[in-house]
Amino acid sequence: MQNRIPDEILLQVEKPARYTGNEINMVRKDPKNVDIRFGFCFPDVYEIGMSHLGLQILYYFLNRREDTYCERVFAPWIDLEEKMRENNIPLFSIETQQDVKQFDFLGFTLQYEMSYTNVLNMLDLAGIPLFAKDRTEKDPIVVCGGSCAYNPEPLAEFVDFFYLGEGEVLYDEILDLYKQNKNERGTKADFLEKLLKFDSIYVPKYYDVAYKENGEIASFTPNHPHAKRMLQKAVVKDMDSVYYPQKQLVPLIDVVHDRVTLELFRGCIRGCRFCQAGFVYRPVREKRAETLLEQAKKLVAASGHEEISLISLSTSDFTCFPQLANGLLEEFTKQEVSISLPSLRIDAFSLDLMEKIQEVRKSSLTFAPEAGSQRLRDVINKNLTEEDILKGCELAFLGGWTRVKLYFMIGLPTETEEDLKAIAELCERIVEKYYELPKEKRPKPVQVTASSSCFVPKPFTPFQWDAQNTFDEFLQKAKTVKKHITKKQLKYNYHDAKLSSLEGVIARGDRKIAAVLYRAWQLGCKFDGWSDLFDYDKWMQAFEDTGINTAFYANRERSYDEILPWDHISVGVSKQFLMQERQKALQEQVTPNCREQCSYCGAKCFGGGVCYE
Amino acid sequence: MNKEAKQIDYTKKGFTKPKEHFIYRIKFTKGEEVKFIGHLDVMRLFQRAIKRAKLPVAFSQGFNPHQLLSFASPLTLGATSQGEYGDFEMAEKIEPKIIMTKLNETLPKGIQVLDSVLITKKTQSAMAAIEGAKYMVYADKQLTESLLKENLEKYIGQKEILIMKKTKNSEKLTDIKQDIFAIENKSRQGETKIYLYLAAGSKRNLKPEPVIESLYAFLGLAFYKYAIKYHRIELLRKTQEGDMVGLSEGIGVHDLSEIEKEI
Repeated sequence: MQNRIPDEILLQVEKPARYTGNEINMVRKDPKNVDIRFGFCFPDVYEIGMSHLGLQILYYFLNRREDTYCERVFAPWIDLEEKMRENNIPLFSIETQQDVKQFDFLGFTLQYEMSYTNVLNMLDLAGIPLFAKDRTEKDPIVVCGGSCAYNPEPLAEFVDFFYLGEGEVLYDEILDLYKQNKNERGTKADFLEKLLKFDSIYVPKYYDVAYKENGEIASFTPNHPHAKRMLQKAVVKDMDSVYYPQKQLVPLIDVVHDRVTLELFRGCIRGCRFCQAGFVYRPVREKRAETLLEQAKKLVAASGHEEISLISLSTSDFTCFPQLANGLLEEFTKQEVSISLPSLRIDAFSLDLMEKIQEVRKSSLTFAPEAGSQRLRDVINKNLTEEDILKGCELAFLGGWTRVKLYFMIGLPTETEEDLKAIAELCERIVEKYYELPKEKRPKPVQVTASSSCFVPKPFTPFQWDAQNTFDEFLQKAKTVKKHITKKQLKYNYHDAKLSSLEGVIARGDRKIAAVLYRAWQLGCKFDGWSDLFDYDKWMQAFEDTGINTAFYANRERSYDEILPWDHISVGVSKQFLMQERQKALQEQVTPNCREQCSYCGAKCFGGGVCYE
Repeated sequence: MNKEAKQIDYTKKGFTKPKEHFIYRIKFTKGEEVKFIGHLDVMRLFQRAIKRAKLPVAFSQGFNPHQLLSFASPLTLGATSQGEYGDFEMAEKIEPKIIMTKLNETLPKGIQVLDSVLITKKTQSAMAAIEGAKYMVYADKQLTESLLKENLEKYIGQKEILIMKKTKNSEKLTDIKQDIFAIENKSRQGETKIYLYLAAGSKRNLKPEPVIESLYAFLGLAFYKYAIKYHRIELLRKTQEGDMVGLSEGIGVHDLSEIEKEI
C-alpha cells in the first residue's frame, strides 16, 4: 500500500507511523468489492483513538459484514496538518490511505466536548462542507455517536444524524437500509427520511427550535410527520450473546493503552450524582465469567499482548469477580501475561487480589473520595465513608504501599468552605494513619497526593439544572484547599479551571453553540484537550464575536420547567427521577445502589440487566 | 558481565542455576510497510509475534520477566533493510526453521524472517560481531547518473574525506576515508543508486548519511536529507580467516540433525 503522505513529509513529522497503518489484525479489503465504505473517525491523534475500546469493537463489528469496509481515520497532529494543507493533501484513511471524501459514511465518536473543534477540522481537511445543509449527494453522510452524543445539540448543524446508544444494536439495520436506498437510486435525503423509523436515530434537520427572548428554549418540535417527539437510546440486552471481537488491532507503535481489553459490564449500580456515565449507561448488564475467560484466551492468542485490562465503570461491583480473577490467574500467569485492574474499590479483597494478580512495584494506590466531607459525599451520593477510606489506606500501608493518590472535585453543588477544608483534613488524617503504624511497618515516608478537578454539570445527571462555578470561583476554591494543606507529606494539584469552564458551556449547550464552535475553529482552535494547544483567549474571542454568553450556559441555575436542549432524548432514566435525586441531594440523603434496592429510575424499560436480577 | 556470572556459586542460598537456553540468530527484513517503526517498537513487535506464534521463548529472571531478545543494530527511521539481525533465546531446543516459519505467519507485512540458525553460547552476539554494513542509497534528482559517473572516482580518490562529526557537546572534523570500504555507482535506467560498504559496529561506525552528505558537498549540490532513501543490504562480521560475511553465515546450524553429525 502506497502511503498517502510522501516519505519526504513523513520523515519531517513526529511519529510518522501514526499515519501508515499495517498493524496486526488490520482488516484488508478491496474497496471495489464492497457496497459501503465507512470511515470510523476519531477526533484526536492515533495513540488516543487506538486506545478506545469502542473503536476496537465497532471496527470489527462493521467489518464482519462482507458488504462494508470500515476504515480508521484519525486527526493528524498539527505538524502533519500544516504539511497537508501546504501540499493540498486531504484527510485520508489508515487502511487504504484513500481520501475519505469518497466514503459513504464518516462516523465520529464523541468522547469529550473539547474534541468538537477537531470534528470540524477533520471535515474541513477532508474537503467536506462543515454545515450539513451545505453538503451535497457527493459528500459522505456524517454521523456521530458516543457518550457526548446524548446532548447532540451543539453539533446538530454539522451532523446528518446522531446514533444514540450502543452501536451493536442498530448499525446492521442502518447499513442495510442505506444499501437498499442506494439500490433504489434514493438520495441522501431519502435515506435520512427513512432513518426516522428508528427510535434511537436523531436527524436534527427534522426538528425546529424556537427560543424565548431570554435565550431559553421556547419550543422544540418535529417538522416531519415521522420524526419522533421522543427518542430513546439503543441498548444491548444480553452482553453474553452480543458481538465481541475475537481479535484486536495491535499497534506497531506505543499508544496510550496497548493491551487486551475485557469489558466486564456496561452501566454502574452506584448512581453517583455527578457522574454522567452512571446514568446514561444504565442498566448494569454483566457478562458471565466464562464468556470473559473465553474472550480473554482468544484475544491474547490473536494479539500477543502482555497485559489484560479489566474494564468497567466500577470493577469491584462485578458479581463474578473472584471467579473471573482466579480463572485469569490460572490461565495467564504461566504465559507471562499480567492483569491490570483499573476502577477498583480499595478493600481487603482487592488488595489481596492485587498482591496476587499484578506484578506491581507497589507504587501508588488511588482513591476517589470526590469530596472531602461526609456531608458533601452524601450530597453527591458517593457511597464511601471516611472510615472506608482510612481502613483502605491502613490496609494498603500494611501491604507495603507508601504512596496514595486521592481524587477530589471542587465546585460541587452546596459546597462550602468547610467542605473544602475537609479535603485537606482527610488527607492529613491519612498521613496520620500511616504514622500510627508501628515503626517497623513504615519503610519509607508516606506520600499523599491530592488532585482536584473542577466540577462540570452534565446532561442526564441530577445536577443538570445546577450552576457551574465561574472560573474565578474555582480558582478561589483551589486556593482555599491549598491554604489548609500544611503537612510536608502532602501534595496538592488542581486542574485548569479554564478548560472546565468551557467544557461546562458546551456540555449543556444548545444549537446556538454551533456558531461558537465554528468561529473557534475558524480562529484556529483544535486539540483543545491538549493543554499545550488549548487557547482560551481564542475561545473567548469566539464567544465575543458570536455574541454568546458563557454564563447563560455554564453558570446559570435552570428551573425544573425549562425545556433543556436534550429533552427530546431519553436514556431510560426519567427526568422525574433526576429531579427527585436532586432534591435528595439538597437534603443530603443518599440513594441505595441498584443491587441493594431498586429506586425506579426508569432504566427497567430496556428489559434487561440488573433490573431483572 | 558474562565472566562474572560464571563465577557465581550456585550451591549457595539465593541463587538458582539458570535453565539452559538455546540462542537462535534471526535475519529479517524491514520493508517499506514498516520503515517508520522505530527500533524499540520493532523489539516489541517481535515480542508479540513470538507470543502469537507460541514459541518457547526464554524469559529473564526477576520481578518483571521479559523475553530474552537482543537486536544487532538500530536502523535509521525511514530506511529499509534486507539485513537485520537479532539473537533470540529459547527455553527449548527446536528446529531453527520452525522459528522462521511460525514468525513469518504472524509478523506484520514488511518484516520477513530470511534465516534462522541455532548458535552456541560461545558465538559472539550479533551486536558485538558487527564490523561492516552494506547499503544501497537512492539519490535525489540533482545527482544524475552521469554526474556521479564522472566524479565518484575523484571523490574517493581524495587524500582525506573530512566530515563534521557531531557528538553531544562538540563538533570535530573527522576523516572517514578509511571507514569507506567501497563506494560504487550502481545507477540504472535513470535512477541514481550508490552502493556503500562501510565500517560498522562498536569500534568504528560510519552511517551512510554523512557519506552522501559529503559527496553532495564535494559535488557542490544542496543536500536535502529527506529526499534521499537508504536501504541496508547486509550487516557483516569478520571470520577467523579475515573474510567479511553476513552475521548468520558460517555459524551455528540450520538443522538440528547437523548437531548430531558433529558429535
